[in-house]
Amino acid sequence: MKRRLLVGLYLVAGLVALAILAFLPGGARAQFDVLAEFELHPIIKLPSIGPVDLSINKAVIYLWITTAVLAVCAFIISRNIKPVPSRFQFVMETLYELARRSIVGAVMKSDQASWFPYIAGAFFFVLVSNLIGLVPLPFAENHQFGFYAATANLYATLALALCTFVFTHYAGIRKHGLVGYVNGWVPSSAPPVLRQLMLLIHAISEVFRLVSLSVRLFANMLAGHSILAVFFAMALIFQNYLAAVVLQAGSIIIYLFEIFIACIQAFIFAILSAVYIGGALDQEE
Amino acid sequence: MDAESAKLLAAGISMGVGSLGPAIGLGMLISKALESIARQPEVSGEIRTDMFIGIGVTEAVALYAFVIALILIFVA
Amino acid sequence: MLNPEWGLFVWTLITFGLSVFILWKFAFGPLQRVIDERRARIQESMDAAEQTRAEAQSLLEEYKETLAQARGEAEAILERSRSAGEAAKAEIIAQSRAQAERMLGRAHEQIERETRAALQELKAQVAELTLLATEKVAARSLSEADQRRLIDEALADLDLDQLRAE
Repeated sequence: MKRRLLVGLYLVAGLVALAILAFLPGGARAQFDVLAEFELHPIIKLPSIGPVDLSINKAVIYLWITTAVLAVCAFIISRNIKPVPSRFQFVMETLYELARRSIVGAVMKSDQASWFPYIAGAFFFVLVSNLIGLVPLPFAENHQFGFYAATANLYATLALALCTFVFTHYAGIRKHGLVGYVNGWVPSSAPPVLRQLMLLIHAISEVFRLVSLSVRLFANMLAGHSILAVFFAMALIFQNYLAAVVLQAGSIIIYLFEIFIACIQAFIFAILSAVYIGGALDQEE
Repeated sequence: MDAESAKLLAAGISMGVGSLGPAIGLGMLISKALESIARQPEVSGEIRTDMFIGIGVTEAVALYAFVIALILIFVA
Repeated sequence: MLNPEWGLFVWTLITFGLSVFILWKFAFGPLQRVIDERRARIQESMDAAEQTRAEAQSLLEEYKETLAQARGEAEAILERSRSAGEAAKAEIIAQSRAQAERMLGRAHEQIERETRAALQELKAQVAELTLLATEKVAARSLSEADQRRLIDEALADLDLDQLRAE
């Protein structure tokens, strides 16, 4: 009885607080352009070779942070690995086992050992890169803290997908030879005219794999970060403390969902890489 | 209607219509996967892996719409 | 956002390649090794436990067998000693009975012999006494009363106690 009264009191107090918030005048008017968050400005100017501008920008810093985090993890693991794992080692082992069993082991039929390092490396790289995108780091405009992800950039994910694309065909050609590999794309029982058409369709689908692999990761990360940014921007647009409180609660939920998406996308990227490479290795006759 | 507003409208429509199909597809995909897991819990690991592959492929369709919307807004 | 960013493309290739290389060279090897080691160790300890269990089982069976054997042996020994005891008892009883009979027989014989000797002596003494009494009677002529008295005196002189003592 007393407990219920207390809960009721809290509810009333909360509602009163919300009502007060609703009628308070809003804060300073601030412009918040969501898409400006994703613009890249060179931070350290470096010479460009042809169309390749090697200047260090926000995304490059994020990439190097990813590499640094992975290198530190690898260093710690290689230095003090113990039969009885510490917490950190246990997490690493769990992720490693996930990559080994659920990604490579579940999808690839042959040659698992030689392609495991690439697929697990891609998994770890994309995972860490996605998760670092959800840590506020001071690389936004005027060194403000902001969310950004290197993988929310089409040309970064395109480079990752291109690695998978190249390794897929490298694996297929190395195993079956160039002619054998291309012939393996279509069933040999098909009539010649149909066969050429099917080869063409398959070649196009191979290119589309490259596009889908890169665009999936890029669009997921960009959409997630845009939604987060939109939630923050809306608080500024409404000019109201009540709206701001509600929207911040919403942004927390979106943030948690984004953590889930970051892990899932890393998993999907790795598993599709494994599927493609495995498919090139074990062509269906 | 000027060209700018037409672009924005087209972007909105492309995102909205483009996410209809993948939404239905994802619903069917995941419901079937869950059904299979409930029927055969012993192969749940394999089903889950295949389900994620399917989610990745299906979701890509919605993301194409998203990219088209972005292109409409910023590039076209 | 969709502008070509070939610099970023190149940087991604560099950092990605570096990351995969670092992970491959420094992390995956030790992780695989420690996982394999742990698996081997668990397998080993499970095997060892299984072996220990089997050993304990066989040991237990051995003990049971030995115990059963010992019990059987103890029973046999008990049985044997019991029968030996019975036999010894019977023998002792028989021996003692025989000895008692022998002793009894000897005693009977002796009693008979002594009785016979005593009777012999008694007879001799009675004859002697009779002779003495007759001599005395012959020496004096006596009245019948005197004769009676003299015989009584002679008989009273007869020391029967002496006979009993012997």
